[in-house]
Amino acid sequence: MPALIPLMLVPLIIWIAVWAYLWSLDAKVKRLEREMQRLHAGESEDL
Amino acid sequence: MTNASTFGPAIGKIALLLLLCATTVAGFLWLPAAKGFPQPEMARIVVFHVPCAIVADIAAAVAAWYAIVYLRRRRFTDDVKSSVSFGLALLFSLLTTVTGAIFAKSQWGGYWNWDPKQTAILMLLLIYVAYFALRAAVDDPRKRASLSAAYALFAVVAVPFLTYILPNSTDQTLHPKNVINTRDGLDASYKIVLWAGVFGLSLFYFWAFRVQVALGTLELRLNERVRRASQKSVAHAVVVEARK
Repeated sequence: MPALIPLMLVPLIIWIAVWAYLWSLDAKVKRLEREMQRLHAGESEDL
Repeated sequence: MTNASTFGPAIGKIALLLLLCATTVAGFLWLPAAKGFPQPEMARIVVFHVPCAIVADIAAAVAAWYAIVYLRRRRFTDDVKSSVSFGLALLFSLLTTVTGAIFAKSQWGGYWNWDPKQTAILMLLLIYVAYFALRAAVDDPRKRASLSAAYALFAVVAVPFLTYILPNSTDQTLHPKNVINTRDGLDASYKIVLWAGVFGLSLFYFWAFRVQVALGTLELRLNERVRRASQKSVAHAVVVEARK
C-alpha cells in the first residue's frame, strides 16, 4: 500500500494544477466580461 | 455584491476539488485490490479510466447536440459550444487512452496490444483530431461552422459503434467485460468510488465547458466590434473622398 502513495500523487497534482488553471481562467473571463460591458456602456454614452 | 455573488460558486469549486482529491485517495488507499486481475493492485486504475470514458461520451453527445442546434438556428455561439465540447471529448478520450494503456501494461504486459478496444479508441481519436483539422482548413466562419457541425454529427454517430458495439461484438479481446455492472464484477466499494469519479469529472467538464464557451463568446463579440469599426472607418473614408 505505501508503494502506491507516490503513484497517487500524480493524479492529485494533475487535479490541483488543472483546477487552479480553470479557476484563473474563470477569473480572467469575468474580468474581460466586465471590461467589455464598460466599453459598451462608454460607446453608448458617446452616441 | 461581489462577495455574495462569488462566494457560492467559489465554495462549489472548492468542493469539486475536494471531491476529486477524495476519489483519488479512496481509489489508491481505501479500495481493496481488485480480485480476478493478474495485477490486482494496479487494477484500481479502472476508477479513473471508466469515468474518463463516460465523460468523453457525455462531451461528444453535447457537441452533437449543439451541432444540431447550430444547423437549425445558424448562431455562432452554438458553433462555439459544439467545438468546445468536441475539444473536451478529445481531451477525456486521450485520458481514457492513457489510463487504459497504463492498465494494459500492468495486466497484459504492454502499453499497446492492438486489442479491438484500443484500436477502436485510436480510430475515435483520429476522427476527433480530423474535426479540428477541418476547422483549421476552412477560413470562412459560416462555412467552417456548417461543415464542422455536419462532421460532428457523423463523428458522434461513430462513438457508440467504436466504443461499445464493435469491441463487445468479439470474444477476441483482452479488455474486461461487465466488471462494473454485474453482481460478480468488482467489489461494491469500487462502484461508489467510480460513480463519485463520474460525478466529479462531469462537474469538471461542465465548468471547463462554461469557461471556454464564455471565452469563445467574448472572442466572437470582439471580432464583431472590430468588423463594425472597420466598416465605419471605410464608410468614413468614402464620405471624405466624396466631399473632396
